[in-house]
Amino acid sequence: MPRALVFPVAGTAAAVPLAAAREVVVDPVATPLPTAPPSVLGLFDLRGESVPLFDGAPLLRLPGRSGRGYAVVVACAAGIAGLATEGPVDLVPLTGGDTPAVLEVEVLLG
Amino acid sequence: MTVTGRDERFRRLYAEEAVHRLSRLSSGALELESARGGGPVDAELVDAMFRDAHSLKGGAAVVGLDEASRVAHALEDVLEALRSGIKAPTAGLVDALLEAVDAFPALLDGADGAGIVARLVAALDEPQERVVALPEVWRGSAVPAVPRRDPEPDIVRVPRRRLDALSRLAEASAAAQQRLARALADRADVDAGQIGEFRQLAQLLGELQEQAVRTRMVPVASVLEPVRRTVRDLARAVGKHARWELRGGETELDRGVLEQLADPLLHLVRNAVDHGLEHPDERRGAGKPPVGTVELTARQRGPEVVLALRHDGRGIDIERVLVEAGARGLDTAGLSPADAVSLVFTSGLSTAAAVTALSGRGVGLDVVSAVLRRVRGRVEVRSRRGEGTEFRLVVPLTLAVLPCLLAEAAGQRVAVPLQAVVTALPPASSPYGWDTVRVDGRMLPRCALAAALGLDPAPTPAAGGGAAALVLSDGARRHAFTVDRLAGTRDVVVRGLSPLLPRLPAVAGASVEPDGSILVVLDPGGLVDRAERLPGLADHTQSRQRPSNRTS
Repeated sequence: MPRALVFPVAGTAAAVPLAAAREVVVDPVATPLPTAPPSVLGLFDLRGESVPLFDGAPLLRLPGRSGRGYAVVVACAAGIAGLATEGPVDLVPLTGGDTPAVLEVEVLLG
Repeated sequence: MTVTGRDERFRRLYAEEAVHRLSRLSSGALELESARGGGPVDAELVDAMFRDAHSLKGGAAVVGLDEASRVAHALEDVLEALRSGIKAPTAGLVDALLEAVDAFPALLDGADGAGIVARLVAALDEPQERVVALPEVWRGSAVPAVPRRDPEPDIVRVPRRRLDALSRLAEASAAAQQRLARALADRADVDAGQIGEFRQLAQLLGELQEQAVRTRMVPVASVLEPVRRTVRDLARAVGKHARWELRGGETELDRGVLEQLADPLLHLVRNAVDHGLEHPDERRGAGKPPVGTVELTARQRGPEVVLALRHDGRGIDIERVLVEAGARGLDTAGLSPADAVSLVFTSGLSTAAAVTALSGRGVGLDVVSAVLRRVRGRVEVRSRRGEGTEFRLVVPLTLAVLPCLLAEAAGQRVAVPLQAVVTALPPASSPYGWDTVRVDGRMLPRCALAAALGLDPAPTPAAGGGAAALVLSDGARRHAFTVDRLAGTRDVVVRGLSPLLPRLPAVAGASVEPDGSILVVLDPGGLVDRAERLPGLADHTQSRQRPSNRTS
């Protein structure tokens, strides 16, 4: 059965398919990027690679901002990125019923 | 015929191989032509070309590309005629060879080769005035079994993404080693620098990093074949005689930089042949040899590579440049000759007597300048009336390592490419009421770097306070920025930003520091753009700035 990582984005539950997730980073330290839009929180170091950290709230047009306790690192064709969340991050089976809408990473970050 | 996935894979491999063989055939054809009328035809060169045509034919037959095989066979026939001395490499024959080489890639996509074969056969049938006697040893020999000259010894082709991954891992390893040193000091009170094995590891990782950067370096000559070809084809098209010369083609340059220079070089060469070189009669009348020379000299100068493209044509008419510039509202009063000739990089300005399909619309030299700025280089021009013109493209050896000045603004540390820093001044207030500084006798606008970067929560262009005012140049413009602190200079390993990010005009890239923090590297051109759009400064920056003779 396919599984997903479920986490809050500005208080609203969101999910990404486990297949698109790489890892979860605790307390990512993001350096702000001058002139970036509000959805870009900055860059953080992931084993020597600078990875963009996104706030999913503006991307999903949700009110408020995401917390920054964790970064769910996701991969798509153009590279990897972190999605900021206040946590917790849970691994759940995709059963339909109670699962929140699963985000298409390519569409979200594309 | 059904093409299976396996066949498709083999065809892809064949196509990759064909690119290199065709490039060698093209280069060889031009070599043959340049030797024509001069010294003896290079026997080894024709041998090598024959082997390439032979391999193209065999490979095409194996992967079922019949048209490609047929054309390669016709190429073999032409080269065999050259080998045996029956034919000489006349311009017509070389034309036919080059046309076949140019058309070959389309054959891999199923195009019909009958026309190309007919052209090659016709070229063979053309009567020739002169037949070059080739060495006896060639006559009647089969395909040379033992290559006498391997054009690419010990070369392995590696996808660029693998080289990039290698570079990134080498950097990450060196950074991890530095983090380990900090961790040992913080947690175990151990000075890693006192441990011999640790020092050796640091040295090895440093060498690994350097070698990884070197994998991105390629000889300048590797991208110049189209340039050479342009000189030849364009000269023939406009009825001029031009000789191409390359010096220092083995000089190595970052592949990313070099690829971006290909178009500017093509543009400059088109201009040189179309507008620079005179027709043979005019040259004779001026006491010059009828054949003009277009020469590219490449050489490394410290951390930069200089590509000097010069021709011995008529030179730039500076008076005409000044008239054109004046007509476009540019302030040209008091410009030195060096500054005046640099006006050719101004958008829309052309001094060509006639607009042709190839050049003369005033589009191009400003683009050349823009490309050079993008690769953190600059272009300079020198010209003498009646003697010729030289464009010097000065570029960094590699984009990976960039000497930078580190500064702080609104609590954030940023790096500014040192090349763009004109000077740093004390942050004295302006006596003129404007937020300005005086540099080299010119008043320049000034604002807070934090405001230009949008880091200031209440952005204003006011530049008061700060520790210093940095004067930056993007080549055409200069602007001063006050910063909170200057933190020295050093080399920064710059990486482009993730393609997932939107384009950020004031940011050139980023670097992961040994302590895991991120250092943002600014783009001076984008920064000046943003500064000029700040409320309150826009009017002030309308005052025209004179061009500099350096368009960096």
